[in-house]
Amino acid sequence: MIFPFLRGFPSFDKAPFTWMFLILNVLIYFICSDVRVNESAMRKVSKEAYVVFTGELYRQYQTQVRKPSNLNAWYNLKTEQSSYVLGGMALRDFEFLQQADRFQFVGDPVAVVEWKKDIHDFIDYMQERPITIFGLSSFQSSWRNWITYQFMHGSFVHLFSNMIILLLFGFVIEAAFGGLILSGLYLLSGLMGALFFVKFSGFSGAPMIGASGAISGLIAFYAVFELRKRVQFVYFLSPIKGYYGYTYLPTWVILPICFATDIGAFLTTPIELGGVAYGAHIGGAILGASLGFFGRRKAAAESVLGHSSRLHKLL
Amino acid sequence: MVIEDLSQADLSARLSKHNQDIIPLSQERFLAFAFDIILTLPIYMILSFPVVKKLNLVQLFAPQSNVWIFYFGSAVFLYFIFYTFYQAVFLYYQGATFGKMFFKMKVKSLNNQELTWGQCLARSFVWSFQWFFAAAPFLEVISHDERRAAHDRVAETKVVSLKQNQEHQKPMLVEKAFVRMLLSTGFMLLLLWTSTWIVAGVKNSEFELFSKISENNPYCSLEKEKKMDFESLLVTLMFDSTAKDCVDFEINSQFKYKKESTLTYVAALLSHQYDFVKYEKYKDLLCAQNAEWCAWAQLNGKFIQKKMTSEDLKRIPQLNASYLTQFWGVKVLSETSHFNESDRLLRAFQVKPEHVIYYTSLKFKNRIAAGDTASAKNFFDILSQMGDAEQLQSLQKTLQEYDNRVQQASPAKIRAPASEKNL
Repeated sequence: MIFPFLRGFPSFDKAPFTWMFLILNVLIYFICSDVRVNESAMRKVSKEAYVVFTGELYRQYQTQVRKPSNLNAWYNLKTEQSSYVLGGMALRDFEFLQQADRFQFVGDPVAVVEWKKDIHDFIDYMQERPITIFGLSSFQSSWRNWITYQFMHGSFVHLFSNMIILLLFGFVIEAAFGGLILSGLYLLSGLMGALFFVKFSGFSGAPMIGASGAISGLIAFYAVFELRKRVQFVYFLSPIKGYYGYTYLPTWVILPICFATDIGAFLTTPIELGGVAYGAHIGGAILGASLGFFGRRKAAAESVLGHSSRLHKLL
Repeated sequence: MVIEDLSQADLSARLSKHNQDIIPLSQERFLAFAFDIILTLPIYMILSFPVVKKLNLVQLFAPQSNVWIFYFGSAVFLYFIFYTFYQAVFLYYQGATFGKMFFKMKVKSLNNQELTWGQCLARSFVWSFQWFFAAAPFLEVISHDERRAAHDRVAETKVVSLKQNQEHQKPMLVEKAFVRMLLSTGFMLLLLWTSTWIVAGVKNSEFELFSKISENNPYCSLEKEKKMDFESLLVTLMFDSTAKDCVDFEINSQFKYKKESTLTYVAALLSHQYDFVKYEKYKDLLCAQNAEWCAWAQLNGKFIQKKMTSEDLKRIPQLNASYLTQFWGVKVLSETSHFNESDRLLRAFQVKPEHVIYYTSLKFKNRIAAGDTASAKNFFDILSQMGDAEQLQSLQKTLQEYDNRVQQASPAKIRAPASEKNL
């Protein structure tokens, strides 16, 4: 494990905007995790037999309504395993869930009627959950959700990892360019991440949440702006002495470490089955890298004219 | 001029002093390898994404198929090619891979000259190829004197440390012997396991995955072998001798492919008879189709809810004369202690060979209840010849209980049990 440690964790007075973003994320996480929603509908649809049955109905819907070309072989494969996978896809397909009521399914009539009723309950449950209300999905896709999703997290580990990176990169960017630039970069990267998610990652009923897209933008911005500068990286390879510590590597190393995996996973994960919003990471990173590139050119022009950038002064 | 005495005993020790290369720690070799994998895997995924994407899909939809074996094999082969070239190119131009550079190691030729393309390719190829043998030869790094595993020996190279303050890390004698023994045994076992896994994988895979849709009911192999028709299958369900999953699969298939008939609804009723809400829904659908079966469904509903009256019991023999309803009637009469009526009905129809065992056991129970021990024992003997161990065990228990009662109670009571009811 190796990650950039840059200048470490700042105190509040050194990076107030970074800390404000962090506090906002943490507060929203704890407020939302306190909201209790009746989970009975979710428990019902999560049962294996239910998912398999949903998959069988989804297969009918797909072959009759959408007539997919790329997944034809899989829709024709009428095994329990394939029905289970299709069932998982169906429960994330909001369009299907909404149209299911009007669709004439072939199958056990009693079971189909019961299934439709359960799906109604499931849609209600989905719409009540905070992560659906504030996350970006085909359930909720108003302009507000494009902003609010950037401050929502699904689990403590998700929140913790994002906030650590936010502190490290937010600090150096805020110290060099100021809080407003940091805020703009955070929000714009998040919006770009959302755009990529919507366009390329399959806009499903499963909500996208997390500051990852925005943070990817911060990382890419810094890495491109300071491409050749050597910064501190912390590594942990083994608990034996000598196999953990820190080293100084060029900033560009951050790009393959952080984004090669994202690009690889984005290209190899089928859109219909995507769990992690790799597209959002890449979208945020592209915006951050582009801004970093233009910032770098501007800074280079300034230094030719005799002005040195604030970042260069700082670092 | 002083000529050195080359016959001295410590010659090899003295000669090795001339060789200033430091052998790196074995754990550093493994960490460098891990570092390389972490760095190259995303690049490999980007370069070979069509294959890996397809593998991900197949992994989900049909993990035990020949298609999965094909794509998995392709992905492994591509990684083999990719990693071989990655290693060879970096060895030729840098003398080390990324991981080795990070841990300050270098690959050197034994003749102390620059590495040639041949050496780099041979070393990389053998290194990658070892993974097909569960990486066992690669583990020689732990036990070899100079930590030269197969790939180093083939290419006549060695890995040296560039760290100035590091000492030689040769393995101890005991460690060497132990690791070698462990490796040779482990290697054989792994080879055996891998070949078994491959053979089993190929054997169990679905070879005609895309050309043929499997319609086989995975739960009904026994019934399929006996070539039982659907009605006969339902009789076995009535006696709890068929897995419910088997019948459910048949019901679903019939609904799914629009092959449903009255019997499909009857089957659905029997399958959901303990869920009264569902039972009523299926009953409504059945009643819309067939009035005779509707009458049966109403009686069955009452029987399950234990609300049967004597009037209802009298209606049993008047039900439609289907095989299923007659068997059902015999069972219900027997379970409601109307043994004579049950016996009378039992005599009235031809039992199919696959149900003789239920027929005989019902006869046996009826005879026991009627106190006709001799006849009951005859039926028991017939059942013994049929050889259904589980059923026999249960019937033997019934017989034993009956014998105990005979010993304890008066003979008159046994001949005319108090529980016997007449319609």
